[in-house]
Amino acid sequence: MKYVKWTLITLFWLLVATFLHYTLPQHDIARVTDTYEKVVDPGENSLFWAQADVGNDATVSRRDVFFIQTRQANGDVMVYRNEDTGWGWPPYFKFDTSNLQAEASDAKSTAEAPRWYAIKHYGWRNEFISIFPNAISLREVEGPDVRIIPWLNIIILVALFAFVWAIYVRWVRFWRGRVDPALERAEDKLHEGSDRVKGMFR
Amino acid sequence: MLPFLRFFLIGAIVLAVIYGVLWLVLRERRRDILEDDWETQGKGSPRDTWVNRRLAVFNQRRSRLLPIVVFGLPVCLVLWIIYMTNFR
Repeated sequence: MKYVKWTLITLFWLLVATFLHYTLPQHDIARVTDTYEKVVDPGENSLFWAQADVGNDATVSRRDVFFIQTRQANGDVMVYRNEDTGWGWPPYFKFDTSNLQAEASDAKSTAEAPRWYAIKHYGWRNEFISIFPNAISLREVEGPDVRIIPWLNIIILVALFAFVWAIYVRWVRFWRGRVDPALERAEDKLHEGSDRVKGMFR
Repeated sequence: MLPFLRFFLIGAIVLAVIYGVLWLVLRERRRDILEDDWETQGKGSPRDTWVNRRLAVFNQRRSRLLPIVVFGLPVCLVLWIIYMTNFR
């Protein structure tokens, strides 16, 4: 039974960690190679796509989506989509998709004369289900080895940990103060009852 | 318009719930502190009158500060995120 309990707890926290890894912003340092737009009709993977730009018809699923192609210093390629999150989830309130695309177009550079950009994004790249991380912003940096400290992530995770800890402490206190004594009283009553029954047969 | 209204409605409901919970929790905390104070300072008058009179002062103070914090802070946060994401 102990294994079941710990498996469930582990699975729960794994789910929380996965959700946070998808939703919290990350930075990649890469060289923008190209930008394009493509018609996309999200189907099974629609959970990992946003919706039409704010102001457009949000009920139509087929739409043009901007993409930004990049190459990182280690030679890996990464393709980002560039979509409005608008008033929806995650709460980045991104409305400037077209502006970002214009910036990305201007940021293109070649391998001979690279210009490195820190691309803030959220989401995952998965080739098997064709999902792309959503680029939030671009910022030019000196080189591919610039160190970027994720302050926002640190603040959010510390706050979340403090909140979970506060609830856990109060839960344990409540359990020890109210539930354990009640369970002990119930157990005592059970023993009393069973002794009485056994006494009948002596 | 509709996505904004949806966001606004959900935000308003969540913040209203947080406001309600915080109001009650803070009021009970203040009541406990005042009852302890009565033991040391106010033994002259009946406990409930002494406590309730002072609690009313704190209620008034809380009714000014709590809405600003609970409703104002998230609005400022959203505006700041919008500025940082779109205009910087």
